[in-house]
Amino acid sequence: MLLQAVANGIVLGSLFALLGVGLTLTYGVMEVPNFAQAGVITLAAYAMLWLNQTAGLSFWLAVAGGLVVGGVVSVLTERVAYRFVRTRPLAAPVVALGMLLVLDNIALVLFGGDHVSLSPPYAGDVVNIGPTSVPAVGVALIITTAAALVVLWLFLQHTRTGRAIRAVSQNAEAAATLGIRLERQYVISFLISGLLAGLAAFAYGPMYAVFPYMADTVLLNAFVVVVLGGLGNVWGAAVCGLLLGLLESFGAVYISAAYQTLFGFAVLLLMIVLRPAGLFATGSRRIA
Amino acid sequence: MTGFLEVDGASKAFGGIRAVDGMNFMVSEGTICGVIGPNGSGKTTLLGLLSGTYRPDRGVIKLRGRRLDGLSAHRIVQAGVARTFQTSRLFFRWSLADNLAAATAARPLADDNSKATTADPEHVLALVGLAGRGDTICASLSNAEQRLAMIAVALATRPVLLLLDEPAVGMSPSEAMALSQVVRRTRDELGITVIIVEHNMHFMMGLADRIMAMNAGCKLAEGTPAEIRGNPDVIAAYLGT
Amino acid sequence: MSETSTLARARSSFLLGPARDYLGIAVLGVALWLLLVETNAFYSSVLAAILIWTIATSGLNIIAGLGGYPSLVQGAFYGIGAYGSAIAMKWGQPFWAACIEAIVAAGFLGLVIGLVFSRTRGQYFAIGTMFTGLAVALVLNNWRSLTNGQLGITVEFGFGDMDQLNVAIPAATALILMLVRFVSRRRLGWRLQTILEDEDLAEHIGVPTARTKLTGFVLSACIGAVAGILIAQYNGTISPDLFDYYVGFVMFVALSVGGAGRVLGPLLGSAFIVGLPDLLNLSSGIGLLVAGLIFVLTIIIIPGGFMSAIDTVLAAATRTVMRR
Repeated sequence: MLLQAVANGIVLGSLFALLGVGLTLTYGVMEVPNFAQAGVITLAAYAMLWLNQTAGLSFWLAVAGGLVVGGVVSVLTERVAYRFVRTRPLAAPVVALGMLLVLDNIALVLFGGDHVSLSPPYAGDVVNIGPTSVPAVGVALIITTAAALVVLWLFLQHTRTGRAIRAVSQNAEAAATLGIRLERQYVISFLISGLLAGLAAFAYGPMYAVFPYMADTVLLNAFVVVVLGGLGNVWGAAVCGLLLGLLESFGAVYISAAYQTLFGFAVLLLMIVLRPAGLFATGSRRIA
Repeated sequence: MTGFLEVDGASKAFGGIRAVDGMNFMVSEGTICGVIGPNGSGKTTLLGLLSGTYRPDRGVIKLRGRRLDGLSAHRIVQAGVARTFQTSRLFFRWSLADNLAAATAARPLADDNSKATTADPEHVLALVGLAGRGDTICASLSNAEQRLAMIAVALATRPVLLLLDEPAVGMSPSEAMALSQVVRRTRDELGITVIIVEHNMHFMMGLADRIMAMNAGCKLAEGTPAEIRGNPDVIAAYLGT
Repeated sequence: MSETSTLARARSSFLLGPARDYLGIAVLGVALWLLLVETNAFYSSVLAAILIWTIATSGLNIIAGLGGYPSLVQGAFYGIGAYGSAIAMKWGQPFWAACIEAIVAAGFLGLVIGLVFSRTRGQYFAIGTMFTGLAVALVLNNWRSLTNGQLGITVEFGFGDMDQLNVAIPAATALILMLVRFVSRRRLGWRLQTILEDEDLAEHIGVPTARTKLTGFVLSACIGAVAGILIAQYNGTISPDLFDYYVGFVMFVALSVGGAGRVLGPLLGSAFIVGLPDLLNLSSGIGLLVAGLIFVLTIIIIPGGFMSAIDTVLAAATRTVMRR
């Protein structure tokens, strides 16, 4: 049972890490809590579904299409809404939530409210590792997250754009004086965030159902991950995503499955009271 | 015999940096006390400790025998300490009169034994030289006017001790002269004790009764303006690395 | 938010003068009552929903509108009012006692939430309260022994007859609007407004910011519960959908769109967000979609909401008239 909880925790943690990293990236660059990302996940998932089932594309082509949709929608949210509230930190979260409302309801209007399932070719398969059994979709999630993090690391460390993003995240003013075009970095981080959301849709959709509000609760957990890891700290988010996943998994197995999200909430409360700067804070960003 | 303001061993660190390190000094009632020192010497932090903006890590701060250290800022205002800020800070969307009304109402009139002034808004505006400007929205005041307005707001809380944080910043020589007058009148007409943190030595020398020089969070020297001006340690601190 | 100084407005209010404001609201209350009882059942039910939401968002107006703390948890207090009163009556309490207990429960939760989250500012307060709303909804959904979970519960009718309820709703709306008007001009109100303008400065002119915020928050919670009690009475049955986590957010949307910090803001906002979709018979998806779009537009273009748009129009009209 313990090992099963660990396995579940790693699966859940991978999801949190994937989402948390995207969220903290845009946070670091623009100081905006990108709640609309949940809506991006939803639309990406529906896009994959539509491409696969209605348009008849193969599963993997549909996934690629979904990724594109994710990236595009995410960039659109920046261009259409977020960019106007960059200088108004109070307005940012509510604009984010407004966009989430819009995106979720676009999904509702276009696709209806039923829970539908996104079925990859390996749905239903189960992988057995020792005494634990993990559904194949869960394994896919772990692999996806790991691969995405590696690619992201390479990008941030070894490409000019990636380094520019890191610079903006540390100190936007200084970066601007170095000639880095801030607007471009904002758009690119939202693009990355959108692609990560698309990946999350691919990995997460099959595990839970696809419906208009599918990602809202998970995104709240992703926010806790961002706070835990230190606002803007990509690697902090990755590590803390895993930690939170394990924590919630253990809570679900040993205490109560229905209240799983509450454990994430409890962590948030603890952070506010004890360490508002996060476990691995970089710089002086704090939530309280 | 208790002095007016007594500071004993006050210290405050931020992260690893000791901004204020064991400050001991006293200020007599009804005087204008200047605090000078190079950048980073802890002057503003010291003001922050006196006003409750920061809580001291160690040390005791007493106003007329009553301990202020550890109190929250609004309680310290209630005790009769008001401050201004390095950058202009007002309720900018509001008129000057409304700013004063808010400050006046925040401190109940029924008071302790202090020689607290009953500075009514009109009087305060006249004192700082902004008479008749009550209806102006603060955002449209000039820089110098905003700094005077800040003082007016502080005075409207009827303090016994006024802390001014670099009040002359951005002022022309004539504006600074007017400011000096305001500070003197505050002391002479309202009986308020004033502590001023300033860079502008010239401004300070003519205004302060006593000056305290700080460096690296500690008190370097203390005395009359003339004594300070001639003090080799002070000169070295200013001209040094 | 409006350009003119809020305290200055105390001297020259939107509706011509302090006492006349209350009179105006009272007249409005009577008019609403007439509308409620005279129109057909459909319009009447839409109006009732608008008014009940007006009460809930008026509560929100205190902490979020006056104080500038964007609380997204008002839905939870709304729910506690509804469930609290219904459950208390189930346990044998008379209606008036059940109401008080529900309001006190909401106030207590408000106290706790306020204490925890008053350390946070701006967007983190918004996020934290949103999470809290989620947590409360989660608990109430899953605590089946208390709330019957998804199935919901029926609500015992506490009024004498429907006529009394039809009086209570507009009366409560008018009273709450008057309360907000009253609070906004009194010490709590202007203290909250100083916190909105510059919290640190407020602290440094002697405003006890922590205590003020807490008081505002608890008051907001209690008023939210009043709305919840009324919706429970009006609907006859309640279910957890009543306060899904996004209800708190939609209430914030309604307040912002109508005009946060203005007495009539909640009325305009609720009419738009709740009333319009119902009247046009839009599906809830399209209704929320439009609400979201309007909200984002409002935040970006007219942060003061409808009330500030009205201000601008009136000011322009007055200027044109003066010139003649």
